[in-house]
Amino acid sequence: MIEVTIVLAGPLRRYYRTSETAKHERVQLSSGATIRDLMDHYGIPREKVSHIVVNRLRGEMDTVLEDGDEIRLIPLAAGG
Amino acid sequence: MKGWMGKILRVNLTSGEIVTEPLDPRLAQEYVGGRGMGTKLLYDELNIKCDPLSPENMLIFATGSLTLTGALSSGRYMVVTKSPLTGTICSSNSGGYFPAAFKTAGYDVLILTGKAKRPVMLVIDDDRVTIEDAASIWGMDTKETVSAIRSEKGKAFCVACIGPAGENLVRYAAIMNDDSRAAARSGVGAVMGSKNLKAVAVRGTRGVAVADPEVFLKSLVISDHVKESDLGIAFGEFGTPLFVDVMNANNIMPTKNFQYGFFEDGDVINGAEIIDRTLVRGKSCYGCSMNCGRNTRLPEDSKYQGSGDGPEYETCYSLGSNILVGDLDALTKMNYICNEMGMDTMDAGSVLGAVMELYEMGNITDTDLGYSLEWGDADGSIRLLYQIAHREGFGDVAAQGGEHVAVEYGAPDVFMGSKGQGFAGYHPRGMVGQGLLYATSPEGGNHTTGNTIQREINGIPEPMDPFTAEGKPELVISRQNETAFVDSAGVCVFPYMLMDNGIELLAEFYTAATGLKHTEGDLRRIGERIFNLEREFNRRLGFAKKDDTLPKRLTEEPHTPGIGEGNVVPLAEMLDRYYSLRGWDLDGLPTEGTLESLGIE
Repeated sequence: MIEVTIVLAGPLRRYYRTSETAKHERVQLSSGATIRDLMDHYGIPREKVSHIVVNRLRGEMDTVLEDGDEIRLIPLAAGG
Repeated sequence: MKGWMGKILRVNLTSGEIVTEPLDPRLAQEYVGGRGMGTKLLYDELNIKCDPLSPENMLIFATGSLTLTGALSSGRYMVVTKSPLTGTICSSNSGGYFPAAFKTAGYDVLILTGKAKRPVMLVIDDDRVTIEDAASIWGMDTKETVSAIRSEKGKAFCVACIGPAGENLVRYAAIMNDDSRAAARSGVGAVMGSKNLKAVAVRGTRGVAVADPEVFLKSLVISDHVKESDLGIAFGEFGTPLFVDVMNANNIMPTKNFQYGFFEDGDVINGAEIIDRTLVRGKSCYGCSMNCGRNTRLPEDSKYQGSGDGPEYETCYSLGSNILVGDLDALTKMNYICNEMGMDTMDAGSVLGAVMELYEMGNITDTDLGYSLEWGDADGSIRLLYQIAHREGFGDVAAQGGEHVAVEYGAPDVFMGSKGQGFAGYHPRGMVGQGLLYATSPEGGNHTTGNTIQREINGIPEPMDPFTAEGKPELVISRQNETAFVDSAGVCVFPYMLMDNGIELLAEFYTAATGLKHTEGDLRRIGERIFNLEREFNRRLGFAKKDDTLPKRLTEEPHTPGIGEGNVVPLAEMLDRYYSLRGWDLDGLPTEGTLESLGIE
């Protein structure tokens, strides 16, 4: 098993398990789990996510996660 | 003329003369309104060498041909003048309800010249236009000013005004309208203050005639479509501060005066934190259902108290990550202060960032300030903001802008801006096209003249490498030309930027309003004409390639850990190609052939 930290931005925070107002959650996954597995675990549809960031670097759906990783999932947004 | 009211209102504050004149149809067709028309009027009529804070300068309020029409998000106007911050032409955009109200009074454009002998306000009540004494409201903050005028004149009046910062000629003072909407950038509020003009109050009863009214029913359908899209839902719920998450994750949220692109406390100054802590309700401008505005109130148990609007994303950057204030309440309080004093939160934050870095370097001391000002010191920042607005103590120096402070205290490279204007909240080392945009914007560090974010970061309509020069000159030119039209039409850039076919839809609305058939290409062509005229205005003042610069921090210091680590902005490489594509010479000046082809005389 590995334990990672997930940060769900904006409307994606509805997928937090503990509370919608959480800032982040720690979650346990099987060794070798990918971003895809993490999103499946939370039930987050692929099209809802615009940016995947793992340990402050760009991640992909098949990025393999390691114990202690921080994952940020960001929806599409525009601002200014 | 359909789409336009067909009238310009001219007020000479020195003589008190008030004149209404017909709008020249050719001017309207070639320059549309807003930024374009304001630029053309300034270009033709202003003594271009004048001191921006002298009576000679013209202050132009310009709505667009779509303002008030029912086109999606059609509640914008532009304030166009010669900037006291940059010395260039500038245009500053605002929404709310004042712009539409101004048009209901029967005018497209207001041109203010001269200087009143004592504080005055301009009252426009349809055809009855009067200059009235404003002694009793001079010195009031912007909230008090709006409230006092509406109490006296009636709630049907919309008000645009300056606060103490404008009165005291702070070079980044704003013109505020309604409840905390701001034509914030480039010091337009200082120009208003230099004319002794405290406020413009307007009430009107007219509507605007359009050529094909049925087309505007589309707005309702499209509005629902945009609102119900994932992006629209996110935008309405979280407002622009949702961008804190996007920018921080992508390592492009300017932090510690642009030393970094990631702020450790980003998660406590974002859109979610605003919802959970301070949000009263979302707000929309006239003719818009996006609801992206944030009306907020600080909690009773907070160290800071107050209510108002904000922060928007730009303020989360400028008064948050940029000065290491990771405290939503503190940065919200600073936002309220800037709104009430009537000054730009972006340049205020840019100045604070420069001052804090100079303080850390030892170039600015406790003796200079009268207090300490370490990174992240919210209370010291609040103190300095008030001092700036009132030109007291060190605030008198800081009121001149970040570049002035950095030069004065011996480290010009500490100023994070271009042409004297501080940058908005996009770190160009992680999205180099935005660097080119900042360098070539007519008024310097401005994100609103053609933001590249949708393409460079969001990958819409298709992904693009944000770290290299490839394709960036083309992208920036395209965005600049489109945005020049948007800013001239009197609509908000947001919904049109969010839709794949935004410019096509805009062409349809413009055609329906005016009865003049326009394609997307026609709109871009008009935008190109406007952008080139701004460049030509600046050329006549001596601006050229030497002024299309970025700080060394962006072009020489490698980007810090995270996405894009090690990257710098390849400005020189992008500029040469940009000039060539623009039809400008090697010094970045429009050639006669280019101007002629665009119909610029």
